[in-house]
Amino acid sequence: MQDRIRNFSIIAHIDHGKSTLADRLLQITGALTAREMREQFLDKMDLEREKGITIKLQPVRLNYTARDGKTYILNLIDTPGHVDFSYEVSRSLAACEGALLVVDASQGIEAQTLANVYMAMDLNLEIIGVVNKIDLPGAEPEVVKGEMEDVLGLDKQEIIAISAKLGTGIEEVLEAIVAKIPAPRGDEKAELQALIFDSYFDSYKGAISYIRVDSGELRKGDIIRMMSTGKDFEITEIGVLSPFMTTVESLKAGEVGYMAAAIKNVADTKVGDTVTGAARPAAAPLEGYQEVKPVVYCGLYPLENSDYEKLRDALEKLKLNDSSLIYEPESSDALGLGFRCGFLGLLHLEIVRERLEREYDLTLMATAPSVIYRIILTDTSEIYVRNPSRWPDPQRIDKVMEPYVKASIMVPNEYVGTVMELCQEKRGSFINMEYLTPHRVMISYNLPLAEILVDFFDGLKSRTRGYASLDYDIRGYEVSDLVKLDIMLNGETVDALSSIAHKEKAYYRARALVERLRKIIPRQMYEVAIQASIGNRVIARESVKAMRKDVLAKCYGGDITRKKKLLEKQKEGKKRMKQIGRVEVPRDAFMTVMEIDSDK
Amino acid sequence: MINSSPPIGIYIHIPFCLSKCYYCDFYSLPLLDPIILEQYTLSIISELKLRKAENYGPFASIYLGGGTPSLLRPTQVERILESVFANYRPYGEPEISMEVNPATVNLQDLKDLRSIGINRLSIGVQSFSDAELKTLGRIHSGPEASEILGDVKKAGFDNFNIDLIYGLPCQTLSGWQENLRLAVDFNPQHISAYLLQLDESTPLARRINEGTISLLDDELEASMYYATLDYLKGQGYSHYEISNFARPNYECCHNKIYWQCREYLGIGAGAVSFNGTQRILNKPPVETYIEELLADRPASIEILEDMDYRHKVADAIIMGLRLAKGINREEFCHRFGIDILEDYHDVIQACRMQGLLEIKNDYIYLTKKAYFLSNQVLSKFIA
Repeated sequence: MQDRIRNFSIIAHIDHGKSTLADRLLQITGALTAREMREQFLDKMDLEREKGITIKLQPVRLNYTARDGKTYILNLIDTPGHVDFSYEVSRSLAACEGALLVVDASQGIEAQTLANVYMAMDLNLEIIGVVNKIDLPGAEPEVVKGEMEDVLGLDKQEIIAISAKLGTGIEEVLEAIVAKIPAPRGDEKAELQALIFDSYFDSYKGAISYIRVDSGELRKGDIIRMMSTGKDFEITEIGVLSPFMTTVESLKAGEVGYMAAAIKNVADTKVGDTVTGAARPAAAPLEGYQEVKPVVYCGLYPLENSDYEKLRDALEKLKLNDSSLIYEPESSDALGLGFRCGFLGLLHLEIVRERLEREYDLTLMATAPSVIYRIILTDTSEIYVRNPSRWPDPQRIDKVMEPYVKASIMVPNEYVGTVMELCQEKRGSFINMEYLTPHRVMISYNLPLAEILVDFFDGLKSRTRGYASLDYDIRGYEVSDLVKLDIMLNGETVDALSSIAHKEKAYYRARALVERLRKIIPRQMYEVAIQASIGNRVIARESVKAMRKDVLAKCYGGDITRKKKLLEKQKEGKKRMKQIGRVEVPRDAFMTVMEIDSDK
Repeated sequence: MINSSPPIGIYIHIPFCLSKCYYCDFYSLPLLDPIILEQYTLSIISELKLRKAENYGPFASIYLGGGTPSLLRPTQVERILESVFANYRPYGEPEISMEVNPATVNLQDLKDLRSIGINRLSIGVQSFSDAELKTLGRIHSGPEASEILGDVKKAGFDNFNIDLIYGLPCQTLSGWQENLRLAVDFNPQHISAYLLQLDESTPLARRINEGTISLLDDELEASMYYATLDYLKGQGYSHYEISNFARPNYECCHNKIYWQCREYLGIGAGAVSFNGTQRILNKPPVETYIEELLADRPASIEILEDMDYRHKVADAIIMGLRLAKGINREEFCHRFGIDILEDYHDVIQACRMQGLLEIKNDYIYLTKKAYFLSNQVLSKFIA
């Protein structure tokens, strides 16, 4: 049985055509009828389809009759393609024996892809090289194949050239999966060991977990045990995704599928946990994933204070299939009750925020993202600050440390100068530079994480006309000269607008910030003073002049309906405002604290 | 009381213009084909007959607006008025107003209009400055406007309005004040002074978006507005609506029907009627309208609004507060069965705190400061 199973994932940079390739695999193997087919089928979230990006594909089981006449079960377990989600890569790869490495024939290998391939190689996965988009005018499949050989040591002759869009070469890919990727070799008779590699919450069935059975067998009605918590549950349903949920009687070693066990508490199905049998438990869990820690925090607050409970429920549910999301209650003088949430990066933050708003019908305010600062106090004790408003009194601070990353930037050699300039501006220090091929360079810099978070990636893309790619690893803390910048509206400090800035950049930042706030805070009945200060010292000031005009000069019979619509719109607009003291602030203002650097 | 239904206004829309002004977003066509004007006159008469059946109350006013109603020959206007009187019951001595574009009439026309029963004119002067008129795309000149105003008086009109626009690109405060002075020199009984506000679709708005010209800043516009209030008050005009000024007893009866949220019958392509619950549009285009009415079929309509009680109350407040006198608490209670001060207590209090609303002698009204910020108040009452 197991020798007819192949478990694989796809490693690809965003935009290199992963979803399209997955669509073709579904079509060719007949998993979907023409009627069921739609683009980016395995992109589960509307958000993904809208943004045209894939964070992660839903797992799918394909039946493929190969040229040898035998029918194989191919399980596709996807890896995310964005740097924010690299932690997920490890857990997807751990459930596979092989991986397709898909590279765009005109773009070449990107830094992030490289990092993921190394991870796959570390896990001894079989790598199948695929060059995609060979139909595009700028495609240079031979050059890219050469690059893959040089950089990754793949055999150029074995790399498959395809066009997922046109369907060219897809059969070769399927044949290679069958021929090259090893079949799983778990012991069906042994104790059950199954890895939870993803899960989500279904309002009818409770928590649904995607699992890969390593050894033993799982049957409906079995009592299973979660090895991390020791809690037991009865399996109510097991099945495979082909791609729709199809129930099966059992899942044996090597197989991939889903299970439901009427698990109501989200915390009871941890991604990365090992499922075993309660009657005959395995001695040890499978090698777990390294627990990933969020690197960026921001406060999320409901616009309506009464939605606080709703937000808490929503976060709890979301956390089920996003174990990297971390949250804890906090309160703000300006914004009321909310949560300080931890994310893997800004895309992750943006996605979580949008999902909360859409899927749970919430209107949220987000404060500026912040990294975690480590502060040594004068009494030699040490604290970690994730919320700028909790910054200690400067008198008590001995030294401040901020997280640094090693950033690896891959870029065509003509852009080296401009990339180095950008890194210098962002307080970076040069580590080294390496030629991967005669035209492709890998530049490494030591950079403060806070600088990367803001707009580094956008800056990189625009300065290199989209050719640069970025990967980074958190390295640790370094001492830094940082200060807390406060914002006052009409003399009152708004805690949710505080941010941390490097001392040398603080003045510029303060100017830019008050300027930006002046633009986005609408005129009110009275003048609004906006001040930025460090400690008690005001270093920048602007004011929003009092409103002088808000009138409909004409309102007559034919026109009343239309004029009323204008007033309705105005009333709607007020709902997006947060009243802070006497000042109405647009709910998006709190995010702008981070955006100002992009206006340079 | 023999008839309890309060009087209505009859609005007759003439959607033709010699050319379209750059700031106008009303429904009108650039046209001067006598055949179509005659067909349109017949259509109006047909609609007046057909809609008699809707049983509106007696009319206190007739208002011929546009477009450019002065494109009609006085004899056509006469036939329309005859049809109104033949089919609808007047309430007292109705106000019969007509809008006049200075470029479209001469002294004889004005005399004729006077003799057929038009008792109030509204002259679309907008400005006495040629440069400003050119910016607006008006087809008359400053001197032409002055000449017509002289003719209006010669023709014997003792009740006329001058329309003026301020806030024009490049206009100065003193330039605007000069326009006001020139208007007052003609001793009109009524002055409407409108801030230039542009719909995105207008050519002037496009020029502003392109950046070739720009509107004035809010501060200057506000000073123009308040200078107007002060100046006209000194000249014996009372400020009775956000943009309207009148000598005692010369407030525009027709427009007050709108602001008091009374019913009105709208006749013609693009006209809107209000039957107390619905606002109903006679759908353009003119061609279809003419075709339908000449075949004695009712005009195609679109119901713009169908209001429940709550919306009616909100409407009455939003419109009523435009009047300087404001809303009478007792009258309002009589009409809607609620005490406005109780039902809108919080909103009214909040506006009072901000110095935007005042209550005196059972009237709730905008403060002087609030006129130019009135949306801040009105939007709070939106249902």
